[in-house]
Amino acid sequence: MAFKDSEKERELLMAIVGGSEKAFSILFFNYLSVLQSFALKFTKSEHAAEEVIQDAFLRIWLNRDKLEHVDNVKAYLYKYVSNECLSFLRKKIKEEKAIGFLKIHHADQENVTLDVIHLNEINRIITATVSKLPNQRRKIYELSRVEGKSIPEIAEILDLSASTVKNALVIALRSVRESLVKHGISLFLIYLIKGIH
Amino acid sequence: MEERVLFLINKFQSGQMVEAEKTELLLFIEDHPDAVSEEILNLLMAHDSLDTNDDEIQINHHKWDSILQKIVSVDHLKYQRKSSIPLYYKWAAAAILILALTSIFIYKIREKLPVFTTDIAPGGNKAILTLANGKKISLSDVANGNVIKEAGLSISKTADGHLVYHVMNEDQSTGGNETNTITTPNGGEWQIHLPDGSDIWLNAASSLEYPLNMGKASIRSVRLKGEAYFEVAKDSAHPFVVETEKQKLEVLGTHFNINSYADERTTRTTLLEGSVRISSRTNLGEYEILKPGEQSVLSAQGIKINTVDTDESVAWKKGYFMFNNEKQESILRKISRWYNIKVEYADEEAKDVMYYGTVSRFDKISQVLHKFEQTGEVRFEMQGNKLIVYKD
Repeated sequence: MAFKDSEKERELLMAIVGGSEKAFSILFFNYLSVLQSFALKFTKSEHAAEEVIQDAFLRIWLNRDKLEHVDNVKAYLYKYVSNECLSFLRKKIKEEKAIGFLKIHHADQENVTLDVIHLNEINRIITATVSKLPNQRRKIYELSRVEGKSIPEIAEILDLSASTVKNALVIALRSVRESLVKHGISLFLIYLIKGIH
Repeated sequence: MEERVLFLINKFQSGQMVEAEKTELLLFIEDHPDAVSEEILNLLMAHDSLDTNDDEIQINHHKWDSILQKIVSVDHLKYQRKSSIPLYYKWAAAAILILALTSIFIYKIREKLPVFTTDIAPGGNKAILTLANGKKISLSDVANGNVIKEAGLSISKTADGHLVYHVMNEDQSTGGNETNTITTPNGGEWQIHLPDGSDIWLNAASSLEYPLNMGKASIRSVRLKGEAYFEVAKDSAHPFVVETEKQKLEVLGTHFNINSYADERTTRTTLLEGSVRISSRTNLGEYEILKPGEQSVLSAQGIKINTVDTDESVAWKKGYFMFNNEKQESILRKISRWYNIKVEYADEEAKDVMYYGTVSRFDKISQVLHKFEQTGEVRFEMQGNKLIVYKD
């Protein structure tokens, strides 16, 4: 399912680094069918499968600047999904053990809640963080995320070089992640996985 | 180890894991998360190489589009809208906000509920009965059955927790102006069956004072603070009068709801059946006669009559909150009475957001508030008993 043309793939990744939602959606749908069928097979629950994929891609999105240095996109994406599957597994076993112990049957037991990161909460933290960024960086981030402008467009509006704009976006995203971590929301891979290139 | 982990994962997926194996796998996960994750990754890689294109058929694009939309909008900056949308449009938008959910239907909500360190259970049947001699009895603590005896009366609490008055001995029945009062706290409600056969549902933070000789008096007169729904027994010979702080209402036999909370600027009376006469107690001589389906609004400006959806006024009695283009501020006053909380506004503009919708009164407060948050207009924070409201 990899992209046949690696040049095209690189372009796509760079567009995502620049904040293109369209490019991200192309990436998402390109890998979705394999990931969905795997997550379904793994979790045996449509709902849990959705959450696994949603959370994996949420992490990928908020780490999108890192895609610039990714050689093997598929392995990179799959790492995130494996991690979410692991979180699901741990949570589910813990729940089953607790239920067995307490002999409690929950009507909504099907509705396994993963460590779904509360999106509204993340959004609130991000908004607060961005509002405190230095003026120019904030402006650049807003043009990107609010007005959906691409890096070249922002560069033109603010009369800056494209690389300045890109760096500002990368640094802003890093601040966002740091601030999320401070609020107990880690967006990195929880577990380091070796042997992937 | 890898083989064992694979074996355990397979066992887990087959749903036939025994307790010891669950413990074993959990230990692996806690001690070597990287190794377990890598096994999962290997499974995924293997799945990838086997995968045929059949799976494409099962992709529900509509569903995934909306999930993707949720993901990428996580870093859309909300505060931008404040400056970019003119106030006028915000008002127009606010007027059509619809609560995402009525709890009559159970929606699968995929997002986690808001994080509340303390959640608050809804109100319930709670009330204090004050007898003629001043003695106070907590009705929620009284066991069901025959309980309270007063001069010539027995007051029993039925199996479903309602009060019923029985006149035991006509001769002994008190003939004077002795009264009983039922008071509900925040988060309490109570149903009373009066000696004259009238049924009254008392909402939270309200009180009703009534005479013990009600069955015989020439005028059946009660005093209400707060909100109550009345189903007055028909008795044309003995008019039924409800006095609130600012209003007097006279009926023959009818169903109506009065909302006269001290923290509301108006007294609202909604008529469901029959006919009532509303008069102002502050501006003597001013009165209106209500027809079914009408609501009178008594304010400092006088009495105004509106045609309304009567369901909204009596929704509380049926176990839900119903909002029909109602301001957040007014809605939260209702919610605060029922959940016994204090409300504070971090952003004044949050007060003016308007909603349509229905919410169960028997959900925990977090679930009720979540429904407002789903509109994306407001955000809540619960600190102990204090609710802080932010405009999103």
